[in-house]
Order: sequence, then structure tokens, then C-alpha cells
Amino acid sequence: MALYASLFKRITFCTGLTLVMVLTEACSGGSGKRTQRIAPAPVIKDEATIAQYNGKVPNQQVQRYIDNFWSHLANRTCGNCHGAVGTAPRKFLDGQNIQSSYDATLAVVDLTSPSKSALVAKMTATPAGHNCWSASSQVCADAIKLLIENWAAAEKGAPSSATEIVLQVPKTLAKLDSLQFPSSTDSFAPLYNGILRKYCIGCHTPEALQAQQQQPYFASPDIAVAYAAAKPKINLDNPELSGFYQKITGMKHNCWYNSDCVKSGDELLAALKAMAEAIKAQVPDTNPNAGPPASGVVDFANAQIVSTGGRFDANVIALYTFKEGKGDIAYDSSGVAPDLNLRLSGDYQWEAAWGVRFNAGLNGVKPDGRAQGSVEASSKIAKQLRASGEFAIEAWVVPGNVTQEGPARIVSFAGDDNHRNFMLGQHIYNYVFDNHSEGSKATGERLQTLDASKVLQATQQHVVVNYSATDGTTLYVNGEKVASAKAPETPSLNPYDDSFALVLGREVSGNYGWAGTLRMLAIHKRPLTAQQAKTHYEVGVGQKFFMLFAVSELLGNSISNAFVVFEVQQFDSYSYLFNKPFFISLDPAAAPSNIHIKGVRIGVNGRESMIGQSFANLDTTISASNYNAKSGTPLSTIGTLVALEKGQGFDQFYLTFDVIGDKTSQRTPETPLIAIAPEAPAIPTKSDIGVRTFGQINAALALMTGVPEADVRTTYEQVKQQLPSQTTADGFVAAQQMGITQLAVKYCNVMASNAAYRSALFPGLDMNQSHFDTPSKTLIKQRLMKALLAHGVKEDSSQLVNQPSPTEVDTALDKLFVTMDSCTSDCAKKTLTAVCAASLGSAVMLLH
Amino acid sequence: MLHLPLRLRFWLGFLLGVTSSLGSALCQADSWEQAKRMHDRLTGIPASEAVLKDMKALIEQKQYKDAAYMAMDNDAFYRVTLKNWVAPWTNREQNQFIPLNDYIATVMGYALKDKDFRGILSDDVLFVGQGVSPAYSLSSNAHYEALENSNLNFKNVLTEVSQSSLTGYTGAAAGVMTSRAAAKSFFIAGTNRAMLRFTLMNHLCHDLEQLHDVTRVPDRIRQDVSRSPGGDSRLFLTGCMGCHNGMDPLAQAFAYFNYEFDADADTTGENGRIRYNAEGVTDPKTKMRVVAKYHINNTTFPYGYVTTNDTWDNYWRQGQNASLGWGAGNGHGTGAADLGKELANSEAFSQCQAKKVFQQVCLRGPESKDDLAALGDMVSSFKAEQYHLKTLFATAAVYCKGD
Repeated sequence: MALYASLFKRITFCTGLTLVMVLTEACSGGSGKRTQRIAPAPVIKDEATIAQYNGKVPNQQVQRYIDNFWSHLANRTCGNCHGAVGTAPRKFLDGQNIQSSYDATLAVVDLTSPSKSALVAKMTATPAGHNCWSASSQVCADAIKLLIENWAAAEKGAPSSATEIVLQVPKTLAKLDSLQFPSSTDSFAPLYNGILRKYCIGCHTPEALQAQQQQPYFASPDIAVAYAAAKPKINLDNPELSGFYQKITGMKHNCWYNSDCVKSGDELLAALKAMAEAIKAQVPDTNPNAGPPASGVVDFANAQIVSTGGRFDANVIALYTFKEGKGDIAYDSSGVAPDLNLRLSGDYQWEAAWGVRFNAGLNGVKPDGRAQGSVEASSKIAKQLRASGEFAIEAWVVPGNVTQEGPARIVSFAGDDNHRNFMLGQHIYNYVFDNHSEGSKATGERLQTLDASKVLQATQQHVVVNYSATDGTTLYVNGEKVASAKAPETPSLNPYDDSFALVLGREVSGNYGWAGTLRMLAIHKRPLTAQQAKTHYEVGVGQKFFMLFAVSELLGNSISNAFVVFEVQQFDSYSYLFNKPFFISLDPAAAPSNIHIKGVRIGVNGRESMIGQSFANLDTTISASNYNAKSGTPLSTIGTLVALEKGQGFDQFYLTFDVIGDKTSQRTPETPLIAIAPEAPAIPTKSDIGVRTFGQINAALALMTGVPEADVRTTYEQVKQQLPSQTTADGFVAAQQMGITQLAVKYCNVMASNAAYRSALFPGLDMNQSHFDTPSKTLIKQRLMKALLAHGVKEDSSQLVNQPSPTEVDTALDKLFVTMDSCTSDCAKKTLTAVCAASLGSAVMLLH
Repeated sequence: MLHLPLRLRFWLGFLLGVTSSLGSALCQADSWEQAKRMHDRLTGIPASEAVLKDMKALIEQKQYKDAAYMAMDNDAFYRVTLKNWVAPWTNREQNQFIPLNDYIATVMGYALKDKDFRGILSDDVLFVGQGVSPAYSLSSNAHYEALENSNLNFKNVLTEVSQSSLTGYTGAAAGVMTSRAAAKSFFIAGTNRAMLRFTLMNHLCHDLEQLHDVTRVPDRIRQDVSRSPGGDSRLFLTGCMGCHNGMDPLAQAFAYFNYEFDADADTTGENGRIRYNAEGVTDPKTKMRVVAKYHINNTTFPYGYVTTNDTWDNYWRQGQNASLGWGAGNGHGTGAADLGKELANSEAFSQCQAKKVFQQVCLRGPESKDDLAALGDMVSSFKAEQYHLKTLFATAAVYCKGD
């Protein structure tokens, strides 16, 4: 590859931040005690202030240098050596000879590509940095880079824009060996029998109750089905990275041993390791060299940083990128003195993809993580904003849920729960912003997104709150305006209090904790325009890389320096984003034609990932008509997540192809395994009789009484939801019987009150009796039993065996007639209604 | 409510006890009892003596299915049994206590006219009540409520009409999926994924948990699905993705549909109507035929799939969900009707209809070896008899008639 080392291609891209890559490691903070009303002691004593230039009037170029660079560094430690009285050879902060200082600075900065400035590199050249004023040399590097970017933007009259990226041939890495799953289930059997069939059969098997069945069925009674379902959750090379293990130890998913996830995890990990060891000891039954055509291997160390611009940060006065990855300080890398560094405490953890997460409390404990600055350092915000009278609060947030309220404090600048300068918070699905302008109450005037809009989601979002005397308050989420309020009559920010502290994740009092992740926070002393808010959203957050996967060899070296390139970034602590792949040759003379590319899959650490293969359906042909020598040929516009395994510093990637050029890989078609049906019992365990449901009861009563349903509709509509809706008799309750009674009485009352209906059911019944005589009673009983089919319907006059004994019914109704003899008024109708309802509303009708 | 004397309430309870021994008596059922049970289970109401005798005679001649068909000749089979059987399919809450609607009436019509039930998800058909006033309306259910509240015999008035003739949308109709009731429940607000999910639940008897498969290609998952819920992408990779990778490419079939209603004055959409962006009609937000809801929350994951048409693909033809027994075809199509055919031609569709009917008629799910064999027979009969719904009811009633 050395032959091509000098080859390069300039291409233009429009997204990304100019940020220097740092390797980060996750680190969890311990529990902290609640803080006092005002912030804890400042983390670093920083008495730096913005330097004032008092020399002769400079030209405009030098003035921009003074405003954007010199004034922010001259009073810092840099000025001790590189200032007027320093001994360092390069006097780039000499306020007494500003023109020569300007010239000296031009020699150590690159206004075209600020990240490549010698001054920036100097800060990170050694582990300790170069006399950085902060404990973190990265903070100094970032701050100086930002100052140079702002200076460059001022020179151009526009923010740093799309930057030319020079793609270079990456170093070739060897593909890692990786264990492959054997076709036999023997090595899987101990895990299957000892864990999966023991602890997971409540859900992950077709034998589970239907309401609890949950794919994948890795606890299926058929071990072949279980093996196929389990493979995506097993990492043979690193068993502790297996999905199974992560689910138990990381996500606390239905642990056994009385929910002891540590003990459960240990048992599971031992089984996973035993499986991997067993496979290692076997002779592979597949040829590891017989896989699909594969590209070169790339890791992050050999990927290229996407260093682009687009952000407008000229007015940033505090900036947090949360890229520290460890420790308990979130550094202010704005470069604007004094540094407002934040002390982290409580339950928080660093995110590997840059960010700090304030964890949700467990078992009812409220979130208690926070990051808080000192009052002294925080006062720079109050002073700057009082002076500007306007601002923009910009943050990349990931709310942990959509249930927290209070509002839960995301960013607060306050003295206590009821006195603040400003506060950005969350109330369920809403963003809430309070601002204390002149004339407003001490808690500030509130702007809140609409409930119905559900703007806030538990996913990564870019939030900008603008405030100005002319336009009032405007809230943007993901570049879109979502809420606004007019400016107050007295919009001044004079009430901003210097004795308040900036705090993230919680109120200074310790109340109103917020669960979620902050990936970036910037406080600007001027509002962002709508376009800037949108641009900042599009630029994104976190470090992006280009990964170049070499494919020339797969193309028979017919085209030199050919690559499939992905834009890659760590997405969160658990995955990478592989985005927008394109094909390109770094040979400017290359003219690819008719290159067929189909079925692209991403391999991680020596094997294809079994999930997340969004480019497996890709099918395209590169030809002269769609190839651009500068930008190549786009292969897809989408992105996909690839699970993180060992971490950004260790994971290696490659691509495989079903087809690339003349090379093909005929994948074996998937052969779905049909789960064996669980053994069925010999006889049903459930009753084969049940109760009629509401509609059937209504229709049955209408039929039996001869009363049209329409005549009883009002009562039916009132009681129908009280009637049974399920047929199972063992779920029948007394309230349902009362509903049936009410409906039966209504039907019978309508029947008894209506001569036509009554005479149809009881022909010849004399209703002019105070009490029914014996013939009338006999008629009533016979007709009711007929309606119930509880009479001699058979040829031999015997009753149906699934209907009650006519003799018993006759006896029971006789007793009821006797009871009704005590009636004193309107007795015929009441008795007829009562006997009818007691019969037709009984279990005789209900059961079937 | 009438106020009953305390003593009468006692008697009601007493009579409940009269039948307490019915269950044990059922094992002795003969043709009379079998006829009664078949009638009760199929219609929900007791038979008349005349019908019972005729059914009993058929049973004794071993013409069991004929006996079942005789029972189903009663209008209660439609008005009571089918109405309450289908009602839960037509709303998200799976509520049975709802008025008759066009979805329910159309299922009734398929049974009444012995139409191939697979067409229930794809045909350009709707059933209305002939002569019922008010007439069918795209923006009201009043027609069906009037039909239900009338004393009309459903068998006499249910009439097949062309759905597209009512809606004016040529090429949009997809059986009950594009009925007004289904649109009101499953195209309202949201993202139209509900139409797929509830159709799978109601007609393939599979909810998404049972179809979850993370190994399918996730290239069609839309932009509105967070890839890192709460900042933890493991939730997406092991959870959300397993449903969305199969669901989103299928639900694309509904990309031109919406349910329009006045969200301020009519919050539940009682007076809303189905909307379909026909050829040449563009959505003001998407600037294409695709309705805006397919592009909502597109900043949640901007690198997700952007829907541009109603082409759908069935990724579940591969992998574990191939076990649903997909029919002929290539798992690829355009629009809702094509998707309806894909779903209805699966083995799971026939199995599901059989299971639902078994539950309805036998009052329990199939569980024993004999039950499962009977279920298999039901499916076989269903297929052999041109997918007539009444075939399933008849065979289930015969199996569960009692010994």
C-alpha cells in the first residue's frame, strides 16, 4: 500500500464538527451527598479574565485577532511566557507589540483548518499538555481550536463552513480470527439445558402462555430451534459481550436467584465460556476461508476524522462537550475566562460517545446526579448576559424517560427552588423554560411546549432556547421552531443574580433531579438565528470518522485504491452508527464502470454481525454515469447501528459482499426451523360449557319473552357492560347476575304490561285476578318451562339432560307463587313479572 | 329499574341452583342435547322446538353439518354471534360493546354469501343494509346503527356493494382494512403501523411479540423510531428493531391512507372519513402521495428510511417467521390490497380463523390432541370448501356438540 501512500483525493463534505478524537473510557461515579443550596467549592481556581487591549488602534484584521484570540489567552498562563514580559521565543500574546504578536500568531495557527494548527497540536503533544491552564490538556486544545475557528469565521464573515477532507489510504490490518458456530448443537446443550430451559421457559418458548410468549424462542423444546434463536445473543470470542449476559447484568432482565443479577450473570457467563471453550476444542466444520468476499480491515485508529465546520460559536461563553470520559469534572472549553468548570456528584456516569448521564434512581429513589459550577465562575454567565441582554442556550439531550416532571432540571442557573436566572427543564413530554427578566417573578416567565405536540421524546434531541428583547423567547428542537413567546414589556436581564450557580441535572437545592444524558451544552451570549439552530442540529454531536474499506483486490485490482467508505461515529455507549456508504477510488484517473455491488454486510472483530445489517439488501452498479471523481458513488442514504463490542479503541471492522465485481458469494438460503408443537394433553382441561355473553343474553330473553329488543333497548344499553363478556363460567360474578336480573325483570315487565306480548306467551291467561288461581299458575309454569326447553320435548316426554328437571322447576315456582301471595296491590302483573324473571333470568338461560 | 321484593331476589338465586348439575349431565348428551348445544353455540339463543326436532333428525342421520347450517339459518347467527365475534377486531381497545359498523357487516356478508373469506383483506367490497335509512356515509356510522336497531332480518338486507363506488377511490379498497371502522381505529393519527399490527392480531393471531426477529434486515425502519431510547441503543438493537424491521416494510402498503377528522371539535373522529391519496394527489407536507404521518418525527433518527411510495416487502418470508406459511408470491407488492392477499394466503390466516371459531363455538381454545386434530380438520375443510366462513362454524359446532 506504500505505493499509494502519496495518493489522495479531495472531496467536500458538509457535516460534522471539527473535534479532535480522544479515546474515552466509561467510568461510573459513585454516589454523592446532596449539595448545599449553593454550589460546592470550585474545581479549579481560575482567576483569568478577558484581557483588555489598550494600545494604539490596530487595523481591522488585527482587531479581529484581538477580539477572538488575544483577549481570551493573554491573561491565561499562556501570557506568562508568550506575552510582553515572557521569555518564550514566540511572542504571540504580546499586547505591547500587537502587530508583531499578530504576525507571530499566524505562524502557529491555521485559519483554513483550525484543527491542524500547531498551537492546538502543541497542547496535546505530550500527556501533560503544554502548560495548560486546565487540568485537562484536551480542554486547552479544544478551547484554543474554538478561538481559532471563531477568528477564522470573523475573517470570512461567516462561520467555518464545509471543509475539504483529504481521504488517505488507511493502514492494512489483519482480519481477526473468530470462532464460528458449529452445526452441531452439542456445545450449546449445556447452556440450553442448564440455563435457558431452566429460567427462560416462562416466555421464550412457544410452550409459554400465549400472552407471555416472546420471541426469540431460545428456550424452545426443540434444541435446533433454540440454537438458531440463541446465536445472535452469543459472542463466542468474548462471552461477556454476549447479548444474553448483557441483558442480565446490564439491563437486569428477569434475573433468577430471587432477582440476584450478579449471581445469575455469573452462572450464565460460566455457561457461555464453557460453550466457547468447547467450540475452540473442536475442529471447525466450516472452512473459515470459504466466506464471502471481504474488504480490508479498519479500526478507529486508522479511520479519518471528519473535521468539518458549520457551527456558529463566536458568541459562546460556556461550552461543555463532555468528552472527558472519566473523573468528576466537566470542563468548560469555551476559552472564555473564567472557566466555568462543573463538579459532578451523585449518580452519574460518563458516556463513551461523549456525554454524561444522570441516572434514574432505582426503587423509587429520585435521580440525584448533577454537575455544578462555583458561584464565582457562574457569575461570568450572569455578567455576560446582563450585558448582552440576550442569549441562546443550546444542548444535545437524551431524556431518560417521558414521565419525569417538576419540571425536572436539565440546565438551571439558580439560587434555590424559587429564585433563578434561567432554567431549562422537562415536564413529561414538554420542554419548559423559565427566564427571569426585569418585571418577571423570581422564578421567571415560563415558556412550555404544547402537551399535544409531545415534542420531548426519550431520544437524542437538539434543543435551542433563544431570548432577546426584540423576539422574546423561542424554542427550537432538532432545528424546528416548536414554541415561542413575545418579549416582556421590560425585557432586560438586569435581575440576573451573580450569586446563583449553574447546575445540570438537578436544582442547586438538590431537588427536581432529571434522568437523562447531556451530550453537549453551549451558552451563547447572542441568540442563534433559525438557520443557525438548524445548521447546528445538522452538524450533529460527537466525533465522526470516515472508514475506508479497501476493495481493489476484490475487483481484481482493475481499479486502484478503490474503497467503500462509511461515515462512522460512536452512537452511544453501546453502538456505532455506520452511515451513508459510498464507493470511491483515490486514484483521480480511475474510471470505474459496471461494478456490481450487492449485499453488503458489516463484520466486527472477525465475524459478520448477525443483526443490524441494513445494507444486506443493497444492490447497485457503479458506472461512469453515476460516478463522480470527487465524491464517488453514493451506495445508500441510510445508516445503521452496529453493536459495540470491545470499545472504540479495540473494535475492528470489515465488509463482506454477496457480489462485488466478478466475485460472488452464494449464501445458503435460510432454512427456517419449525418449532415442534408442545405435547398436547389427552383431554381438555377446561370446561366445555360456559355462560352466554351480553348479546346472547339479550337475544335469548327477547326470544323467550317475545318482546322485541327495541322495547328494552334503553335498559339493555344501561346494563350491557355489567353482563358477562367472556364465556368462562368460573369468571362469573354476582354483579353480572344482578345485571341479568335487571334485564330479565325489564323484559318480563314489558311482557306482563303489554296485552299482545302477554297473550302470545301465555294465551288465555286471566290478568283480572288479585292472585293467580291454580290453572293460571299451571299455564304460567308450563309456558315458562317451554321457553326454557325444560319440559318434555322428546318423543318419550322426558326432558333434555342438559336442562333442569321440570319437576324441580315446577316445585320451585310453586314456592315462589306462595311467596307472592302476600302481595297486596297489582299482584297479577307483579307475580307474573317475578315468576318470569326468576325463570328466564336464571342459570337455565345463562349456561350453555 | 324495577324494584324487586327481597323475596324475589332470593328466588332468582334459588333457581340458579336448579342447573348446578348441568355440567355433569352433558356427557350423556344424545342427539337432542347435541342439537340444542349446536344451536345455542351457533346462534346464542335457544332453538324453537320445530328447529330442534329437525336438527335432531339430521344428527341422527349423521348429517351433522346440515344440522349446523340449519342453525346458522337463524338471523341470530349474524345479529348476535358474528356481530359480537367481530366487534373486538374493529377497535384498538378490542371492545365488544360497540355498535354495528361496516367492518362487522362486511364479515357478516362474507359468511352470508359464502364468499371466499381470504378476500376480506383485499376485495373491493363492502356490505350495506339495503333500504336502511340513513344510507351509507363516509363520515358517519349511522347507517349501521340504524340497521342494528331495526328489526330487519340481516340475511335479507345485507347487500354487497363496491367499496370504491362509495369512497370514490379507485384501486384503494382492501376489504375490511379500508372500511370506515378500521380506518377510524387504525388509520387515525399515529403512523398507520396500527393497521398492520391489529390485522396481524385479528387475522393471523400473531401479535408482534411473537413475530419479533432481530435478524431481519432493518433497512426499512423509518426515521421516527429512536435508535437509542433513553440513550441506550441496546433497547433498540434487542427490542424495537426486532418488530420494526419486519413491520415497517409491510406497513408501507398504507402509505397513501389517512383518517381525516376535526381534532378540535371531534376528538375521537366520530364524523371523520378515510382519505386516500390517489394517483396525482400529493400531500402538502411530503409533496408526494405519501401521507405526512409517514414522515413525522423525521429528526428522531434522520438516517432512517424515508417512505416515498406504497411498495411493501415481506421480510418475514425468511427466518423464523417463515413458519407462518406464506402462500405463493414473492413477498413484494404495492398497496393495501396486495398486502391483504399476502396475509390472507398464509397458512396462519386459515389457522387463525379456525382458532377463533373454535374458541367461539367450543367456549375454549383447542388444547387436547383431539382438539388439535379437529382444528386441522377445520382448516382443511375451510380450504377445501373455498374458504367459506360458515364451514368453520359448522365443523367446530359438530366437533363440540358433545358426545
